[in-house]
Amino acid sequence: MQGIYYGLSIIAVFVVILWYIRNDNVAANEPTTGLLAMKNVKTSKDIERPD
Amino acid sequence: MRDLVLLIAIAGGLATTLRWPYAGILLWTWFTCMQPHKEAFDVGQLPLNLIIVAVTVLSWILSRDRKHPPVEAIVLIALIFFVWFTINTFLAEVPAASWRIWDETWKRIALGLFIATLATNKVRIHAIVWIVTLSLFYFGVKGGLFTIATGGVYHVVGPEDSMIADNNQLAVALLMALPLANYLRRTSANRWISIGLAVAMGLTAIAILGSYSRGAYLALVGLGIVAWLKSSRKIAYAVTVGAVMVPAVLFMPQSFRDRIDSIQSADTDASFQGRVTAWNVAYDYARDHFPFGAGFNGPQQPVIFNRYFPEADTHAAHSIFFEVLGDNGFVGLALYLILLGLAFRRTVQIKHVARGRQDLDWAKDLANMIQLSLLAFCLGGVALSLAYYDLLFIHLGLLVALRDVLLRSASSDPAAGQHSQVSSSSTRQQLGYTRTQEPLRCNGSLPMIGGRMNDQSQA
Repeated sequence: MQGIYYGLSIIAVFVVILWYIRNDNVAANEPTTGLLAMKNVKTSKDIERPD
Repeated sequence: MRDLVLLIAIAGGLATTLRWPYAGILLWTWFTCMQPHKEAFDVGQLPLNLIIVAVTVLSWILSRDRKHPPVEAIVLIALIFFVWFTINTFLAEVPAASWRIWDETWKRIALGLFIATLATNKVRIHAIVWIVTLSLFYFGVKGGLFTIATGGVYHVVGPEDSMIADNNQLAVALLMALPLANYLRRTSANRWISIGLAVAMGLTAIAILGSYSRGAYLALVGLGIVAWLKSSRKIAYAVTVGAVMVPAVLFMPQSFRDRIDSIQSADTDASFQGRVTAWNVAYDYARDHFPFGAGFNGPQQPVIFNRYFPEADTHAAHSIFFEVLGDNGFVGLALYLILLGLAFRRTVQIKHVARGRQDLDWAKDLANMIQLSLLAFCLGGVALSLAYYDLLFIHLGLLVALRDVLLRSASSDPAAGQHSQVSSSSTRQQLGYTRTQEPLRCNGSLPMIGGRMNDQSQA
């Protein structure tokens, strides 16, 4: 059981690394994607034109 | 089997690092915080951390990533602190004991500097927070389940031969991880990830109770009160924390309540009196050898400790502040306190700048949670030796990186000034930016502290 837990922790770390690689070039005001995506942000422009 | 899985993972990680140097920083942070090789069997003897660092540095040198951290107060004070504790180590009365800790401490500062240098966008900063949280919650979730399964009668301890091996140190490390997990919970778009993090936070809180660390209990209460005061939803916060902690405390056995009750009789407690003696040794040595200290681990060496208290058993400093005072003297303590003060100040500045900018909500949240994490470190560290803990230097690196990202973000959102009343220039002013910190410009538009930036601003 502990071995599975250990293996899952390693998988989790690599999920983070893959998420970073996938999103590294996302612009500051663009939303990130994937399992660990951050909540969508609203830029000042979005606030100005909500539609 | 664990050895094989870990070796395959590291091989994959190193291959990735050759292409993306920052993946090596994430691996380095993972090895620092969780020490997965010590959870395996035979590979624990291999210098895996050294291999990861070597490949990361090589890949970074060959890459187009920034080559030095932003020049700012935290970085400069950290470097001065490094120079000072190196001088102290040269002067140590017991060099062998001091150089061993020196060798660990400079690497922690190096990791912080690498994070400050290479965490050049929100994704990279967010990824570090994830790695730290996963690494520490590995012990927190396991410790929480262990406490529940055993009825809380056994102490939760950390990984052997690590800085958090002791139950007290592990408890404070977990306490520091709780706010970071809360940041991830709040900013995660995936509902299941948020729920999973909330459950993990609950289990980690139970693991802290299962550590039987009185210092951590006091820090937990202090952290809970400050977090409640800062919360915008005080009733929901109180109900949620109460729903987890009240049943958890009631679940714990009588020995847990006896442990808590012993806090009130600290003045007669032998363990506490031993700490007071160690604090006296640290102070007396620093006073007698002003401005130097005894070098890392110096005051707890019998040759020094028994010079002041001939009959007493030797004790570690059991306080981050007295630890630094005894090890590195009054100057070392002053530098350390300045570092902590700058870190707290930086969190306040970042929150101030990000206020009203919805695109920077994540930065405000993170600064807030790092502030709570540092508070947990200071409260928990009052009565235990953890002064040079890795997470402190990771936090410092993250704050430097966060400030740098905000400086550039202020320039990247042209409409920001109209809506948040925070212009680029005022943002720089609020973050302590000065003209002397602008040796180069990137793409002719953004103020860069250093050379090329490998982030979206160049994409």
